[in-house]
Amino acid sequence: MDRPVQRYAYVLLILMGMAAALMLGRDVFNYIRAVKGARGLNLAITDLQIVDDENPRAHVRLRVQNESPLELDIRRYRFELFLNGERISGSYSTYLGTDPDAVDTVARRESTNIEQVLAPDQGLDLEFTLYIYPTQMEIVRQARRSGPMFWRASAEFTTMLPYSRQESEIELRAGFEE
Amino acid sequence: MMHPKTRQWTATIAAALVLAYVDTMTVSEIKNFALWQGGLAWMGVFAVGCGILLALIHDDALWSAVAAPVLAVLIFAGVWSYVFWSFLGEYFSYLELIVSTPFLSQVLPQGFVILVTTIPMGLLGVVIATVLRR
Repeated sequence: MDRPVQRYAYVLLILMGMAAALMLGRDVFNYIRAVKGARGLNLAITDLQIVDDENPRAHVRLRVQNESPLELDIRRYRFELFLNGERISGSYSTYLGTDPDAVDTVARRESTNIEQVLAPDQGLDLEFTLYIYPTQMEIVRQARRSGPMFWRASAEFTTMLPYSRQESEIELRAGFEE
Repeated sequence: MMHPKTRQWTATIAAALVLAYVDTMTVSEIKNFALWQGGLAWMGVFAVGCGILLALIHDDALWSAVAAPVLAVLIFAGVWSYVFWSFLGEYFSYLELIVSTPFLSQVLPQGFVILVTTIPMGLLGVVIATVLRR
């Protein structure tokens, strides 16, 4: 090299390149690890009971289990309940039947906040009483008369994944045969 | 004393690594999992900076200022192919993944954005350094 400025520029660029390679490797590794960790979140319906009276409702118990090696920070969630592919109810309309201020015509789509950090192998039980609209309850009655009942919960968990600076949505499904 | 060609190539590869990091932290979702988030402005600034450094290191810098962004895109594509393979390697072969629609529809547009941003900016850096040296 001829001049000091050339030497300094070369050393600076080489150092920047090495630092960039190290940081790129670390960030990509963290990304892969976090996304794989999110796959370790599993959902199951552990109990489901339908109450068919003048105020039809479903008692649902879900269990979300962290089977990844990372801690997962769950911020909030919401879920919908399907019977043989037909939507029956959802967590955001839970209190339409009991809250006197609730307007029946307005679908309440708020998520439920839990702010729970799940350690590896840790589970969390979620228990809900869901209001069922009369038209949806008729679908349940017909299904009871006609044959097997396949329930499915479709949930959306808002989580803060490890290393992440932004919330991510994780969609999970669970089945239950009555 | 280092051979000029060796110096030129190592400098170009180093610039490509810098640009690959800034590009990845700008156009891909990996930036959400990193300590530093880039941006199009940062991509331009680093491309100009690399162009200036390349022009200070050797005289034939125009070639390097084009080669470094192209290499950066190849590194970027390599990173994403590795990410895809990490997630789906148990279901698909590496070749199947890199010719798959999800991979190409992600890497090709982002690679295009990287090239049209960094090549002109890198060349601008070379011009700035050349003018300053005079």
